[in-house]
Amino acid sequence: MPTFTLSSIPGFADQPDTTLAHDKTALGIKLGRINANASFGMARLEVFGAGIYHDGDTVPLPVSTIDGYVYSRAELYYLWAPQNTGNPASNWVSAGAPWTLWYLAYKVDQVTGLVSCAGGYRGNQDHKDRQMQTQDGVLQVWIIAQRQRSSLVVAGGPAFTYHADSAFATDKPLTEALAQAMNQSAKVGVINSEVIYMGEFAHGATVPQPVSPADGHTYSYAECLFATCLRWTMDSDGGARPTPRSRTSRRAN
Amino acid sequence: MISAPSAFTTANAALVKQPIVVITIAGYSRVLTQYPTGVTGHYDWIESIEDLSVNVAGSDLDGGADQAQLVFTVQDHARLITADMPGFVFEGKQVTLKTGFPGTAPVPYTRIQSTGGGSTLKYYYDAGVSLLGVSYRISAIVKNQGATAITVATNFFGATTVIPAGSGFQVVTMLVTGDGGTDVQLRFQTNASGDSLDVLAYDPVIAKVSDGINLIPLARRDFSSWNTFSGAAMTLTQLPEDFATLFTGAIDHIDVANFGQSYVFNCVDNKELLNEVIYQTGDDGNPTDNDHPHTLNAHPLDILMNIFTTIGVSYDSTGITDFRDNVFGGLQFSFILTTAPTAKDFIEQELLKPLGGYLWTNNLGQFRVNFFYHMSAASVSSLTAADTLEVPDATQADLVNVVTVRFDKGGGSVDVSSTRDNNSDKFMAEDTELFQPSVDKYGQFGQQIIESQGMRSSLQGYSQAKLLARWIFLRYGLKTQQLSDVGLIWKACLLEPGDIIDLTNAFIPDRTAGTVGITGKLFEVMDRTWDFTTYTVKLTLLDASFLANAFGGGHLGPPLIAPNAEADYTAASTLDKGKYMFLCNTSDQYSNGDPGRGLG
Repeated sequence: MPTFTLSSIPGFADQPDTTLAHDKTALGIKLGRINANASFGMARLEVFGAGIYHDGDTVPLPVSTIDGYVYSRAELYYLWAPQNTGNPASNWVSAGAPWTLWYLAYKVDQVTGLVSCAGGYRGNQDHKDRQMQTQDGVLQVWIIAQRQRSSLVVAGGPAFTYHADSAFATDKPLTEALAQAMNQSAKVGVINSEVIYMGEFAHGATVPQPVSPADGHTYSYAECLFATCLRWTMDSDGGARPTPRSRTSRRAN
Repeated sequence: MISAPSAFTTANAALVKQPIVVITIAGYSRVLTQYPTGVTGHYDWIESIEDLSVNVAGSDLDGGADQAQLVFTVQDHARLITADMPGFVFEGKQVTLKTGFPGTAPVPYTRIQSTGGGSTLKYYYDAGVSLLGVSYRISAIVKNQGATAITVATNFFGATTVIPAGSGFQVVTMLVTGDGGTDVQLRFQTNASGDSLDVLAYDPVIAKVSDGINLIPLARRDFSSWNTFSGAAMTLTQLPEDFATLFTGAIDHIDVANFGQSYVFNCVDNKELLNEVIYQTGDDGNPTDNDHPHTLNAHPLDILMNIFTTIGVSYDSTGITDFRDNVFGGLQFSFILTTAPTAKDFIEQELLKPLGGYLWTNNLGQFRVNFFYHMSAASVSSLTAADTLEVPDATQADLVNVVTVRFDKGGGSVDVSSTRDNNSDKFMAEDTELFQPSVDKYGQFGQQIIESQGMRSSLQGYSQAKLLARWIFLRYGLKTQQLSDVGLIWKACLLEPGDIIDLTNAFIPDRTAGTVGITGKLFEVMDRTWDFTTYTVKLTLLDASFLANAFGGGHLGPPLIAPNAEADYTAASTLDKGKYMFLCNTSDQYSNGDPGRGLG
């Protein structure tokens, strides 16, 4: 739960520094935009979870507990972990002995939020010809919500500048440097932490360096943390999903 | 305010004057007027011009303005216009209406100055040897602003005209008969060889009377590259006309009137061009529809200027850019369009209405945007009872003290199985603002509902909604005083919608103060009508006196952002204390007890 709430939903505006050059009018609107950006930076990235879902569910759109903002689907990513590999109804495998678990395949579609779970079973050594596909699996899903995830635009690569409170004391002039530093620092707060979906990778592949959709910044690996989710039990090093085969197809192979 | 040459402004300040109207049709050889200007190619065949109005009151909240067509009737003199028609297509041609006064130049003119020289002849054009027995007309329109008299002459004996110093513009015409040996010339001479020449001149003509064809080539009619004589040093300065442009548009169609004796020209402004359908192609190249949306993600005023550029229309970029970079600095709208709109609807409803702006066409035929927010409280004109035709009716504008803004279209929990957010007509965010001082007085009234597809709560939609409501309340929140159809003398013809004027009139009741008479009260020009019959102006004026408070009494101006080297308030110069923004304490005071200044 957040430790603060906002009475109004803040938003982002890429206010250029030139607006805050000396001898430009000191408009309340301009400082209001900085204030809104700072608030937006505090609320932009939220993590919701963990909900429990199984095959066929769609993860619902979350609502911010900070300010009541209703996220749109395009602002969401999902992380998941298996809570249970069994049938959601019984929390036990759909197939009993002599079956044994063969493969798992889990996914939360990053575009639609649709949950897919699959569990494959096959016979033991004494029942090699038996195969069974199920939708077994229960997932814990965390929602990574980022407002204006891919449509935010920040020009110029803002930088953070520390200012002591004394810079804002009574009688201090609202200088160009102070105003622009506030402007940039508030923007940094908006894009300082980003979560970027990188796709699916198999053994031996290298995840490329992510690029910020907001300002085009290419993250170094030192700036990144990687979070992974179980996708499926691989059939081979190629990363392909295992395919249950009929006896006929097996012969053909 | 329409910019006008100083000569026009000076002449327009006189109470007694005869306005001249000149209408030019691009590519057409005849320039139409209602007054004999004496200029070659001008024909005083205009019979009448209908009132021309632009109405903002009532339309501004919808992002646009109502603008009438320019309609003028022209006598088909000797059927010459009819004769022109087979060779000239009027429809679609640009039309420009300009106004000026006798004694001011309706066309660009030239200042001709000379110093030195060993003769009284200073400058002349030579059209070659005259033909025996052929009559020539030699003329120009000249104003002598030098210290001594000058002479406009030919080189035929006796064909001269003396123009005294300090004269106004006058038509100088001389007729000569060729002798087969003397060159036909137009000359500028001084009375003494040591005198200097300083004249303003336009429309030089050397022509046979029989055919009227000007023997001075077009490129030389600005007096450039004429001949100097006997060492005179010449200086030529090309100057624009003294007339002010009131309308620029295009001929839509021509009707007939007066039993075929006249033609009625109907002219439209360029708003017609905005009927074009835009964003017809979705992001994937297919026609825009639910499955192939067209997305836009940019500053709304950049989107606006891009539309203007794409359609190819002229617009006033300076004002729009200024607002984009200041009041609306960094604002971003994000659209997911599932239908291709017309440019006009999209601009007015989706771009300007949510910003508190409205679109109209200025005198140059350029699109211009006025915003409810004013960058300045400076009055462009002071009007008094002497400028009005009658005591204005002090009415009230429609009251608006409730504003609802809806945004985040299709951005929320709609159709969660969808891969897009655009398959809903619902607006997921709504902000309703009340103007409490007004609601306390009158109750809720005149709710304005503004629906924006581009505004997003995560792109400062709520902030913009509150700002918009605030601007509307300042404009219409307290039964604002409105002076409707105030009759004014032609002096006011340069005022435009959005201009701030100050008005002093001892007969206008002031409901706020409870007295009769207002002094220097600020008003915003809303509607404007030019009456080309009586040459008067009607304006609808909306009380804008709140601006005086918003900008420190209208004379200090809002505080500015300080340079980095600025001292703290108590150490700052008196000038800087008044000029720059300083932080104050929670009691709105500086450390020395001076009252803190608010932001603009």
